[in-house]
Amino acid sequence: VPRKRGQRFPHPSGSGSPLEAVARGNGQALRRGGEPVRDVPRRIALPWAEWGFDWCIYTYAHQFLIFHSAVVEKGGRAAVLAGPSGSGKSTLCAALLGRGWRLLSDEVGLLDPKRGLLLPIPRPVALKDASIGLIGRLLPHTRLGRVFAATRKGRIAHMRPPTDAVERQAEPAKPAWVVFPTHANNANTELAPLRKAAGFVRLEANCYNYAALGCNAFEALGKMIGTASCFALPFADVEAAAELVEGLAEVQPAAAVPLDAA
Amino acid sequence: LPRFNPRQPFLSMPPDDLLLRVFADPALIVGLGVEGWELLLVQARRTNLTARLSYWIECAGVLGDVPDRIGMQFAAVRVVAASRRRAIEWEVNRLHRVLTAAGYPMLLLKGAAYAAGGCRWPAVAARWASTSWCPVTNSKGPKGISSRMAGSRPSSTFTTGVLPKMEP
Repeated sequence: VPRKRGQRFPHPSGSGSPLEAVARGNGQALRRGGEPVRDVPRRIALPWAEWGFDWCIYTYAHQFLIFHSAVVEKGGRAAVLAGPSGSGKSTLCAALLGRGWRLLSDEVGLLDPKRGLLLPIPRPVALKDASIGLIGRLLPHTRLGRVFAATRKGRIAHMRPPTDAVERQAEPAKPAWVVFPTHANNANTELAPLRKAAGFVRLEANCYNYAALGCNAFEALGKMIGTASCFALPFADVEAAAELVEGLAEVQPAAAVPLDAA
Repeated sequence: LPRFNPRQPFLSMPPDDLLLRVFADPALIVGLGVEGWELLLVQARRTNLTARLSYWIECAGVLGDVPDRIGMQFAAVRVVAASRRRAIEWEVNRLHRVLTAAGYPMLLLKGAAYAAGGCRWPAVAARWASTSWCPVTNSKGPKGISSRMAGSRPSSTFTTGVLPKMEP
């Protein structure tokens, strides 16, 4: 983004790009219109550019229902791994990519309310702290980018998205499973079926624009939860968790969980 | 239009009142190229008029000439406009309940008045924050806030308990 030290990104005030990065002598600022959003050091410009992309999606892509989730697909059926930052969804997502699942997104789930399909937006998977070494060991052939220390989310490294995911980025997928992973070192790793209503409420809590879409959001989310099976997935070991999610792909969606499961 | 430089999209935009010209004549968008849409969307977004622009284009009957990818942006801003409108309607609805219960009439001004009056473009109403005034009257006539209102005519006045129905 920045060209030379001190040179401004070509963006005179008055134009309306949603987000601009300004190179300064000592660092950068992300700007919205004329006002700086936040000054950030040059050394972590790349993670910030990535958060800037996310910000643009959350702020502008209201034609979709947007979740904070990773989305992976196998055999035409997609698993939504929803949860707040630090719940382990990126790590689990990376582990599933290693097992041949297709990456739709690591950070944002985009549901097209009209078609009821999840849209891919394959970008590098952002791994944090301990996940960086873990995924490096689990998937030795995966290319990880440089490690950015001490960002606002800790240490960050980006995993290159599989070529297949990028080539098939125009191909949406049907939601089949909604999984809520929560990582804890002492957790008992299990895939616990959730009632549909509970899944709805938990997924809604991870929506960015549920209120903005109003009634359409309720119906689109309801339809999605209606056809998908919901699970809570507390896990300590990411490999075991990936194994459990992998097992889902063997099960037919209709038979996975009865409507009144506990 | 200026020569478009994709490496410097904003530098290659000289001062241009394209947005105003399109509001004056929506048919201008027919055959607008990449550089034209780039400028138009930037100007519309900067002035918070994207949703209104989309409704304006639709009313002029040239929505079919909008490229698909621009149409997606229009769909997105319309969602926001509709949600702001809902928020205004909700606010008016709540205030109306309280004020009518206490025996006061309710005046709506600006955006809220347009919205409650059934303005054709939700975006128009959504641009302004809702403003509601409660005229205070006593035996000596108008007083306080309402006296400042003496010369102005409100766009919508509700003195009954009936509000326009909220859309689902």
